[in-house]
Amino acid sequence: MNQNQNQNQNQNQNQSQQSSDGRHEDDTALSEFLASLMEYTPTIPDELVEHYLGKSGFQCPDLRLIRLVAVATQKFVAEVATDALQQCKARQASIVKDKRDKQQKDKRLILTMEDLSKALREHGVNVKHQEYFADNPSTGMDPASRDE
Amino acid sequence: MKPKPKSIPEPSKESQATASEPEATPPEFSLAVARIAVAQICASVGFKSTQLSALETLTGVTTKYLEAIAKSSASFAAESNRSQSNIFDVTNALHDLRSPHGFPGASNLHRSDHCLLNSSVLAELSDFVHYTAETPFAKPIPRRQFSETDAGKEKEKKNPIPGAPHIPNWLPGLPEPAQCGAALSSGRRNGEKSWENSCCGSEISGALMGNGELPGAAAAAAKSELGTKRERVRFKIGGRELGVKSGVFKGGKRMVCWDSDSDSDSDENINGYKKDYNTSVVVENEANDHIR
Repeated sequence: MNQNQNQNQNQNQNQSQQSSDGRHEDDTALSEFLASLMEYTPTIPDELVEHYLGKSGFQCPDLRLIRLVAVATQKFVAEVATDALQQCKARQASIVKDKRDKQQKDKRLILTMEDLSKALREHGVNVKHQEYFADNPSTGMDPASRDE
Repeated sequence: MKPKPKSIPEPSKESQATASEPEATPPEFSLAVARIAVAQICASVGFKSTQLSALETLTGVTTKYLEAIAKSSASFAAESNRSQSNIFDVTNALHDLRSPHGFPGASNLHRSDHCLLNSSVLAELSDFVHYTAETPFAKPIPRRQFSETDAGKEKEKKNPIPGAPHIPNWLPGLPEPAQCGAALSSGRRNGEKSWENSCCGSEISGALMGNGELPGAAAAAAKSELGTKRERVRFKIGGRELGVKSGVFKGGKRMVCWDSDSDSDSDENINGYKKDYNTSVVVENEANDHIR
């Protein structure tokens, strides 16, 4: 009985050691990531993040957490912008098929409201925007003159 | 036909005013900084130019995203009876914000043996940091140094008494100890005089009645010292609270007893009352000094 108990205890200890080892690895990876944040400079400045965090009641003296929030926000914006860029490229590709001549002029990559609203919709943000005539200089012109 | 042209310009003016208000408010600076940062991110992704309205929209979404993280993690921290957020709160907030888009491991979040720290969102962030070229902000932002130093100075100024934590910080400081002692002693003397004059000392009261100066002078002195008008003085005798008018001057049963007996005991009683009254006045003076 005693031996069995001892074996059970040993097994339990081994299991707990394994799980703690697994968690320990995760912890080290996470702490390395957080430590690397101290050397990484996010595009969104710390002061801006601190301003908005403090405005919303977030208190934390740790700079790494502020950097983490900055990185998360930067990643979000980058994803939205990438999606918008894909939308823009796809739209231009469809246009280019029709008119090969305008390929050089329309190759410019412009962040437009149309692409942005499509990209934001994938992230759960519904953007309703008014279509202003001033957004596109050729909107108010006659089709004949537009062709020219 | 006439009211129409009148009614049309007014809403346009109002809309102009409402549209121009947010530009005049202090958030303009933070929004401008955020706009530059967002524009830098867009440029790093590959955009060459942008519509102004699209950039404004993305900036607004970005600031809302920041505020959403802050609010969510602050509420998670408050749920755990903490005032400061930690990595778990931020991770939970990121999970919440990431959930509409979806992330691997989202279905295991409710399990009890799930470890928050090996969440895929944090892993994605780590990959993002590892694989994305670092684009620092265009210009260093000057921090407001004067606010911290000023706050420190004000704190030093406003807490001159280390042993009085019950005094709120927004109150002005106490007067210097020397002045305070002089004011207290003079106030006590005045109080004694007026009390004796009004109640016990027949000679002084007669002199006072003849002169008619001292009470006025004392009142003026009290006014100049206190600066605020006190309506009524209350003090406790033997667990009972008496007003000056009701208990002593206008005469309840006690007053009648004193007149009839005029014993030494009653005199001691009166002295006792006097002391109580004086101490209460002193306390009032101290309170007023504190308030001042």
